[in-house]
Amino acid sequence: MSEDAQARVVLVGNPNTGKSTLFNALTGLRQRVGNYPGVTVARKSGTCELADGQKVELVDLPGLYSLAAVSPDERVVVDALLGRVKNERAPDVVVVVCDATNLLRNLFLAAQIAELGLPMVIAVNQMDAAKARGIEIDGPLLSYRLNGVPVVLLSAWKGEGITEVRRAVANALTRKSFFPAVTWPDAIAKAVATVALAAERDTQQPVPAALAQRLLFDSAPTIAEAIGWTAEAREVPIRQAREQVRSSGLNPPAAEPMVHYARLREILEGVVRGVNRETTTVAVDSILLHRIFGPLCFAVIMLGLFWSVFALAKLPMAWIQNGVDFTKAFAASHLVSTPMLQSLVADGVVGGVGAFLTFLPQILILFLFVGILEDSGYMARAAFIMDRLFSWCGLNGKSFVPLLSGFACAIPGLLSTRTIEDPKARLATAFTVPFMSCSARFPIYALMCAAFIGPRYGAFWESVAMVGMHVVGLVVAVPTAFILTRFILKVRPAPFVLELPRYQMPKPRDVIWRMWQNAYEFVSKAGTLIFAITFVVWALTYFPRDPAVAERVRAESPQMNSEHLEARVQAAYVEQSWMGRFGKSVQPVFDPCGFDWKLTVGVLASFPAREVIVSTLGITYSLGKGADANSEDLRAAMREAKWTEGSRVDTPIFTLPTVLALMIFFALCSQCGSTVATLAQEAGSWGWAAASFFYMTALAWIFATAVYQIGSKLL
Amino acid sequence: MNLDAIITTLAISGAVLWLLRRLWVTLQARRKGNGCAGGCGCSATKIGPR
Repeated sequence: MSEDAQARVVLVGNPNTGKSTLFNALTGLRQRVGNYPGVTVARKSGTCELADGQKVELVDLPGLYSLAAVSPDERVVVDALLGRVKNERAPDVVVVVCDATNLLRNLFLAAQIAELGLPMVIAVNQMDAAKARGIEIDGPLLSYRLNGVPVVLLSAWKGEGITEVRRAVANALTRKSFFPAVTWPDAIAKAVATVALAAERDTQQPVPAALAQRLLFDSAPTIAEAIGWTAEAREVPIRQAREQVRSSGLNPPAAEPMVHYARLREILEGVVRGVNRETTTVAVDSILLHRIFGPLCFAVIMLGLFWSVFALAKLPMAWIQNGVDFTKAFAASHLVSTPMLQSLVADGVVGGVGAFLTFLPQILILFLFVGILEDSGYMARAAFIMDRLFSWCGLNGKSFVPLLSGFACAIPGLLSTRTIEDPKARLATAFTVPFMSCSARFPIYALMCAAFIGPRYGAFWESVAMVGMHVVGLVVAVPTAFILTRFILKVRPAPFVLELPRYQMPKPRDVIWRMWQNAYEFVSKAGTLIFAITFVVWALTYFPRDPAVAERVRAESPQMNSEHLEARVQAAYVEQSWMGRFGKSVQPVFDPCGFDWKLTVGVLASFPAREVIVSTLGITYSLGKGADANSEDLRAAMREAKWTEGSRVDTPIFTLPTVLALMIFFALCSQCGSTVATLAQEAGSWGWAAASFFYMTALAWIFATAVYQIGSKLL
Repeated sequence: MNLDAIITTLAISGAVLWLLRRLWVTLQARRKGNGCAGGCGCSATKIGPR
């Protein structure tokens, strides 16, 4: 059966209802991840085999509390349910995943979806947690009260009830059952009809009652924009319709939940029994969310996370390093007859990409631990703890999610600022997001820690340095946000509502699968860019290749043994290469930070994308050592690097102050072309993007210089 | 021009062309408002529905 002919089933539900766990259980690993057209909301779909053997396409929609869509995620859900996503028809069955411990609130979304007239299955998940709290749910009675809509009680995490979901969806596809629609008070029904009529007249298209309800109840213009009803055209009819509702004694924004909840309480009468006992979650939260112990626990968890990353990655990193060395030696020995190609492959491609790949184990372990923290429910607590800090510096409570996303990558962080309604708060958050230490900075931190801090001070101080680099961005972001929000943009504070999920044991298969997806994404995207750039950097570092340079060096040192002489010749070639000349001419700018011309080249090459630094250093240091000296890895080469001129001649380039200065420079500098362009797009002006670029780069230089100069005096 | 130089030139030209194509795709994606097309590894890097 072709994919288009397959039935389409969507999973919808509030956040933290175990929707993704159910999706994984129903689809196994047969999943596809993409984007919805026009937005950056991820589209997760997979093939699910039902109880009758029929295969359907299962789509996991983003979590939401209500159809009153504001954020891009919520808009996608509404569009998907209405069949308004490009090249996608409306779903054949909607599976509403509900949290068994909070069925009333979860069914509110089901009641709203019912207005769209879609066949439905109610999947009451997390029954294990409900039972632990002493809650009992009568599934058959609930199904009876919902006009025969299939109700499945399950625990997706434990794998209980999955077969029943497959059976219920198969039944729903053949015997379409609809959640009973609510009977609206006359005033609302009339107001909805008024809005529908006006919208149809202005847009020249049919506007069903479900859409008209959203136009009447929602303050966000999502649906109006989707149907092309302009602000001028809709202003009067919607205002008049809301007046109609108000004149009947109902408040338009509150009317919808009031009517739905009143009826849902009747439906759930006798369905949900027992007491909702306090559980261990509350006891654990009394410590993890404590005003003093909470931030302390957060710091300890982060420290433990990075310590584990370093400790566990050591062995696989050594294996990869051996593999890279072997490949380099193999390539070098088999390409002796073509010296240019030999250098390109061994020093350029293997040296550059290998330097990046060596840090892959650390990236994988980091993604693994972040996945464990997310699935255990701790990340939401981290959001709560950090919100105190952000609200103090004047940022909107909703700023936390973009800022947290910024730790993975600034781009989704910037895009998720769209969920912030206040434009000034959105701008302040967008300006602050690039300060968060994204994963592209991780390889340079890891290289510096592994090469200089770990060997000298041990794994504990490696972890401290790593946490420090992630904190330094925050430390600078807080006063920046404070000044922006208080004095420049004058943002008004807004409340932040966050649901804290229960703690639960992460499911190994889900965590490992997500780690794999994230790592694949990172390597395939960043890796391909690095691969291509290594060719360019190699060429700029290799050419021009004037034989006179080698002759001059050989003439200057006639007594030197051939191995050392060859290394000196290669170093001379690199120094007079295009990259070398450029690096040397710009180096005086970075001299106060303690950067030599090779580091300067690395810093400059990283402005389009900061992850390029490690591969660039891999090439410049590898080439500088001579084509034969390929057994030395980058870390060893950097440890041996010395100043060749000036007052610091013959002293090591990489001292602790230089290492810290370089890390701080990367922690604060705006080195990502995509981020700058996205900031311009989100802020609606290149001025803000330029301000962010110069502000961050200047701050990075000042901090790096201060660290190097003060550190050099003290150490 | 010897074989060494020819292969090296082809490899570097290929890499430069790929980078230029990528830049063009990024600019197109930005123009259409599809978000990031950069190599940052974020989930926003994909263009199109699948």
